[in-house]
Formats: sequence, structure tokens, C-alpha cells
Amino acid sequence: MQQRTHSSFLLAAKPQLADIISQLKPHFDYISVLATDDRGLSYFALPGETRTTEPMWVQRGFVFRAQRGGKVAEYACAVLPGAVRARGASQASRIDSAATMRSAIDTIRDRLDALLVDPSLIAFPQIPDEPAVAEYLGEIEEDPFRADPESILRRLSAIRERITDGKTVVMAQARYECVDVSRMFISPNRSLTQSFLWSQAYLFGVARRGQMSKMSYQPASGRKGLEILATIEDSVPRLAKELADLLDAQPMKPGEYDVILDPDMAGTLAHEAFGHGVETDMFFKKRARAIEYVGKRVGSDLVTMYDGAAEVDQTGSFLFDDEGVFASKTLVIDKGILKSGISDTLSALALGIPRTGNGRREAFSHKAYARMTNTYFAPGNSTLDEMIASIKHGWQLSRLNSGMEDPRNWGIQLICMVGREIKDGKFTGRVASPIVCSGYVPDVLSAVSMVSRDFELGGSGACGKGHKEYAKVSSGGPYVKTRMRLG
Amino acid sequence: MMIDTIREAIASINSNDAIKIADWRLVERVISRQERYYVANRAEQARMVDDRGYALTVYVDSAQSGTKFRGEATISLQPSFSAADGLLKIRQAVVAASKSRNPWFALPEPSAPKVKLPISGFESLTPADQVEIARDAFFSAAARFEGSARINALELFITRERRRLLNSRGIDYSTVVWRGYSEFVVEADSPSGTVELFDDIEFSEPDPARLASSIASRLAQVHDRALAAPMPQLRDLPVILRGKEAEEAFAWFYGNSRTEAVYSKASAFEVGKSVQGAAHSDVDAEPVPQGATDSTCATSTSDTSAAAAALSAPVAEPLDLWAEPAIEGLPASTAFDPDGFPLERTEVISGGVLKTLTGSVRHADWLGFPRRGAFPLFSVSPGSTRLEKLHAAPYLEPVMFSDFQLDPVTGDFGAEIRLAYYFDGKHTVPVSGGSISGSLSALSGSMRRSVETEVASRSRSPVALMLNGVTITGNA
Repeated sequence: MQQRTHSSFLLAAKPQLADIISQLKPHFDYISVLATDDRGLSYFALPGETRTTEPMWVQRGFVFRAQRGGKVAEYACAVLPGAVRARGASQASRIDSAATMRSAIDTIRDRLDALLVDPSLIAFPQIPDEPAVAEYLGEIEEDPFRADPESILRRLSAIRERITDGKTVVMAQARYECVDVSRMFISPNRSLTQSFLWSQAYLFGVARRGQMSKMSYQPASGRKGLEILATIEDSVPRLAKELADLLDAQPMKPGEYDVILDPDMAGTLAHEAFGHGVETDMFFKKRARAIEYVGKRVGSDLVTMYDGAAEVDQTGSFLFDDEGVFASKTLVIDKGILKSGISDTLSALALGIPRTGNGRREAFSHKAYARMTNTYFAPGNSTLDEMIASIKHGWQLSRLNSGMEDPRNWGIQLICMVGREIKDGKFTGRVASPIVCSGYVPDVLSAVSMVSRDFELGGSGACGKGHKEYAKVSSGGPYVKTRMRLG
Repeated sequence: MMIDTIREAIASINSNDAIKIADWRLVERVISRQERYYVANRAEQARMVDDRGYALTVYVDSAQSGTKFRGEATISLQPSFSAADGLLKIRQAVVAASKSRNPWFALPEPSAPKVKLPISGFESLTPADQVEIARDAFFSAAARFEGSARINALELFITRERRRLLNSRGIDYSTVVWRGYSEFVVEADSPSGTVELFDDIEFSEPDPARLASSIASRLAQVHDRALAAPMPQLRDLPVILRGKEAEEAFAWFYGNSRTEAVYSKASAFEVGKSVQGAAHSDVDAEPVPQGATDSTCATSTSDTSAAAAALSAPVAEPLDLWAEPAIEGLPASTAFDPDGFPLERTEVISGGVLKTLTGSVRHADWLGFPRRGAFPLFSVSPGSTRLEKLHAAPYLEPVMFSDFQLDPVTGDFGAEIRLAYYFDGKHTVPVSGGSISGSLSALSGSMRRSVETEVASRSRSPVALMLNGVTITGNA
């Protein structure tokens, strides 16, 4: 295993950031800065072409947060005001004189002052600044930044070509991307640094008969390096068969069925049902019905659910969040009883609840919200075979397409690409695609009747807040048997 | 790192390194943004953002057996990079580009714009006024509902972006883009508790009437959601898609008419053929280059599926679709595509038949089609049926979904319904719950469009679209 290193840019900027925070401290009741330097690589093998780009997550910049009289404002910038460009390698752009430093501090203070005069701003309790110094360095096996781009492109092209037979699978694309995350949080009492790398890879295929097309994919992800490509390479025969099956997919009769959700679908059920539903900024806005159900039953005894960046290792894992709060593991539902929410700093302060380390930003230039990290059901005692055997007439659902939450009214929507029919405890061979799964969240969770011993987390997707503010998350857990409306 | 430094780095690489940069493209974005986050009518916090970034694409040429190839790599260069760090990163990109051997193509040359974009009204306002005009438009509209429906939360972003596009062929275009964006949640009380609806809007002008209208329609609908009954089981009922969902359906045709989609075979569309399933002949379309048609994409006559039956049905109302560089009020309007190719309004689909392809110039070259450029926007001509007539017979009209999903490749669509209007022939009632699903590739022949059009998020298109054969799943 190879250990990551902290960004040299952040390390070089650290003394100046500490100085700026120290000099701004007397002007505000609270002041902090989050500095980011996330770099990345994306490789694509497409029909007839290959490309190298960068993921959307690449960023470098600063966000200053200030509080005065309870009101909170933020100023985000790509470059420190007045900073001059350094000439040497691995040197940060920096403020090179006391006069310029004074000017930079004045500019940041003026920006924050101008925002804080807004009379409509809500007054929050004092943001805590408990002393802490900590750092984290992740580890990977194969470093994508040291690999020859040609070898990666060749590997992706080979995967793509293997699955494209020109008869059933008419097109495919393979993609690998990684992000080397480096974050630093500095306040008068805290100095935190973390650096780790996550990767994700996909193989997409399109099967076609006449003008009818069907699509499916195989993802892989983790706080890993190029080693995740092996998962994609191994998936080719199974994905090819799945695509062929999808061409024979038939519409199902709409109705309510027993369903077995694979870990990806089950994890997304957790994510949409009681992940978004317990983000405490939704409590603060009175948009989440869950606040009325804390301590009450929302699912069967078999339903235990967690969210947390700590204690599991996937793309939603980290040491501290984007507000400088240490990650934790939150027990959201315990044997069917709703226990607690996941919080960002401001909603936690407003509601008088613990900060759970879920304050996350899409980038330094974006606001922090209460966001999920790794969200999952706890494993149960059944085997998948037992679950299949228990079904009189139902469907095993896989290949998640999307999910959407409704925290206020507790609707749920999951769309998947593959449904396999089960009758009398056996697969019939019939396939349906796509399938819209919906229901009323407490009904769906109360109907959970079997949970498998498996435990898989997948982090190849991203989570939005509304239709924006993407954050890297993972979800999963075991196979889950429940009842849902399918159409 | 600034533009001059990037130019110096490119020149240094071409003077000193074995692998040369044959061409390059550079985009500079300088962003200033005001942000407000309202909870009811109070602001949770105020934010200001000053951002800047550069995206550099380097192209490296190679040749084999007399054939020219071109590889490319795109990197971001941060303004805080040192000159040495920037040079190192560009060098790494050059190496990566040299490992791709794609068919050669030429970058666009400098040319005059073919459309003139108006200067946004935001340009002359102070930052405080920019926010206040938009905020007041939304909250004044909500006040007219006198509490029967109200704003729960509203996020407001007013962004000024100065964008400069340069390339090694001499292109140097600058433009200022104003992008307003708001997400809002509206709510109303029902006997079983509070219900809500969510929506968003993009805008490039301080146009209080458009902003007020966008939130007023959702406030009226959330009031109806409070009264909605569970959706019953319904069969064989036409479904009317409205607003963004109708636009998304039209966008499926536009997306599959892109050079990238046809080149990669993600699209089954062929120039000169119907995009709505039925066979057409004697069409006046772009000549199809030899070898550009893939036999695996041809319609199979042996397919006996329901989808194939639907595809062979007569087309109810042939589609007309245009690629548009600019639509008033939409921030994506532009005179040039991302490669710097000048955009001009182009007829893409006429009478349900694909006339030409738009999209990236490289894929146009590789397919042997004329370059049209990659357009951000499109328009669809009005249909032949007034909304009033679409509403004359029984229908289901969803106006808010949990998250309408339409697969850009397969055309499969589906979503859970948060609010729909169901007309049984006598009464129209609001309903909630249940879902719809179907596939545009199978159902597009049944499509009927409203006469009435509107500016949506990336088009000017009919406000409503009626489809037959959609699967409806009720609550019962």
C-alpha cells in the first residue's frame, strides 16, 4: 500500500492562512477557513476515440466563514486577495509583503462585513471552536498519477472492445476517474488536514434490436487506485448476458409486489427514505416529517440503518467534514425505531442537537449543507437463496438508475434497469426494464421481512441536494426483501 | 496562472520538448456570484464567491501509414498555480494526449458571430439590487396567496461570468454571461399535514414577471396537492406531459440528433429517416455519406415486440425541431460553440424526419457531415392542438414528479407522481402518488403537441405533449 501525501500548495499556504485567521479573529465572534486542493484524472475509451480529461470535482480555493451577533456569512475565493504568483515548482501563490497581507485581510473582512449587514439574516447560537489538531493520509495500491496514461487507455479500450460484439451490444464505453482529495481547516483553535484518493470506474453498454435500445452498466468504486479496474474487467461476460436479456424485456403488470432489492437498490432506499429525510437542515426548515418521529417506529424490527464517514471505508469516508467537524457514525434507525439525524453545523446549533460531521460542500465555492456520507442498512440473518425461495410472486431488482426523496411527504421513487421475475421461489427467466418502484416510506420499511447477511457498499454515484450540490457518497448494505409498487 | 503564462508554457514545450502541441484551446472563466439562502422570509446565510479557472485542451498529432491522427487531453489550471507547476501539468497533458490516436480534425478558424446576444439588464444593477429584484419578485408573488400557499425555502444565485475562448488558430472571443438561478420549495396545509412542491428556474434577465409566474404556478399547484386524492388505477388513458418534462421528451430527439451520439452509435437515428418510427420516403435531407450508416442500427423487420408494433403505427403529428444558439431569457445562449464554431439557427428535424446532425465539429467531420456546431438550445414548432382541446377528453396530466427520468439512449422514462390532474370526462381532480413509465422510442408516433409554446429551461417548445400507451400505476 502507498500512503498519500498532503498537497504541497496547502502546506505552503498554511502559515499565511493561520496568520489571516489570527488577524481576523478580533473582528468576528467566529472565523475559520477551509482550503481545498483536489486534483483528478479522467480517462475515457469511447467508440472510435479515447480522451483524457479531469473530473468535475477538481478544485482549489478557500472559503472563509464568519459569525457576528449570531449572523453567518461566507466569502469564497480561488486566490487569496492580493496574492502573487510564485515562479518555482510546488510553491503556492502567496502574499509577499506585510502591506499586501494587510490589504488581503482588509478585503476578506470587508467582503464578510458587507454580507453580515443583511437585516434578514438569522441569528444562530455561537459556532463552537473546540481545540483540535489532526491529520489523515489515505492509502491505495496502484497510484493513477504515476501510471502511464497509455496503459490505462489501452486497458479501458480492451474492456470496451471485449463487450462490443456489433450484433447485440452495438456500443460501449469504459471510463476511469480518480480524485486526490486534500483539505485543510484552520480556525483559531483547530488545525486539521486530510488527504486521500478515491476512484470510480464504469463500463456502459447499449444493446439494440431495430430501434429499441437497452442500456446497462457495471460500476466500481472505493478509496482505491487503479486496482478497481479489475472489477470492471471481470464483469464483461455477466454484463453482456444482462444486455442480451434486456432486449427481451417485457412490460410488467403494474401493481404491488414482493421485491428483493440488491445492496445497491437497498442502499438507495436507505439513502432516499431516511438519509435525506434526517438531514437536519431539513428539520430546521420544517421540511422533514422525520422530526416528529424521533423515538417512534418507522420500520420493522429488521431495519437498522446508519450513516457516517467513520468506521467504513468508501467514497463517503473522511476524517473531518467541510466545516471542520470530525466524522462520526450515526445510528439513524435502530430495529425499526428512528433514533437521530445527521447534521451540518448551523442546523445542529439552531436545533440544539449534536454535530455529526455531515456538513459537506460540492466545492470550496459552494455552501455547506447537511449531507450523507456512507449510508447503509445493517446486515441481517437470511441468505439470498432463502429470500428468493420465500417469494410466491415477485421480482428481484437491480441496476439502479436513480432515486429521489420526499422528506416532507414520505414518498419514495427508485428506478432500476433490471427486474427478474420470481414465481414459487424460482426465477422464471422473465425480465422487465425499466421499473419505477414507488411507495410510502413507512409502509416500505415496515414491510421489510428479510435481510441478508451480505454487506456491500457502492460509491460510484453522486448525491444531489434538490437538483444540484453534488457530494460523493456511498450506499448499500445487504439484500432486503420488502413490498413496493412497481410500474 | 494567467493566459500569458499559459501561452509561454505552450511555447516553451514546443521549443524544447520532443512531443509538440499541434493545436490548443483555452477557456478562461472569471466568476462573481451573490448567494442568498432563505428559510421562509429570513436568510440563513449570505455568501459571495470570486472564482476563476482555466481549462486547457492540448492536441498532439501523429501519423501512421500516411494517415494523420490527433490525440487530446484537457486539464484545469488554477490561478494559484506557479508558472513551474503549470508547465509541469501541461507537459503531463501533452504526454497523455500523445497516447490517444483519434481521427484527425481541424480546429475552427476565427469567424464573425452569426447571432448578436443582448446585454443583460443585470449588468447595470448593483449587487444588492440584483438580489433584491429577484427576491422581491418571488416573495411578492407568494404574498398574493395570503397564506393559502407559501414559500418554505428559496435559494437565489446571481452569477456574472466573464468567459474568454482562445485557440491556436487565432480565435479570441470574449463574452459576459449572467446566470440567475433559484430553487424554491412551496408548501400548503392539508388535513393530513403540510405538503410541498419543489422547482427551480434559470434566468439571464432581471425579469420579475417571469420569476413571479414561475413560482405562482407552483404555489397554485401546491394548494391543489393539499386537496389531492390518491391516484386511482387508470388504464388506456392519454398522458399529458407539461413544462420541463415535455421539454425533456423533446430533448431526447435533439440529443439523439447529435453528431457524438450518432458517431458512437448511442443513437439509432439516421439522417433522412423518421425519428418517430414510421417509414418516410422522398425526403429532402442532408446527403448521407457512404459508410456512415451502420447496418446494426437499421430497423429490423423481424422484431415482433409491442415496441415494434408501436413503431410501425402512423405518426400522429410529425415533429419539427430546430437547434438554437440563443433564446431570450436563457443563460445558455451563445454565439459560438465550445470549440469556437459560430452557431446559426439550424433545422434538425422536419416533418418527423432527421434532416441534419448538430454537435461537435470533430464528430461531424468523422461522420462526413457538414459542421453545424454544438448548440446549447433548441426549439420545437407549435403543435396543431390547443390545450383546451387536449383537455377535452379524459386524460392524466402530471405536473410534478419526484424526479422525472428519461434515459437519453433508450428513451425509457418513468417517475413517481407528486401531483397530477385527472379528468374522467366530467370532472378534473388533483391526484397524488402512483407513477408512469414508457419508452419514447416506442410511443413517439402517438405524440401530439399543444399550439401554445413557452420558454422552458433550454428550449422554446410546446407547453404540453400528449402520449398514448403510457403505463400508469395507481395507488389502489
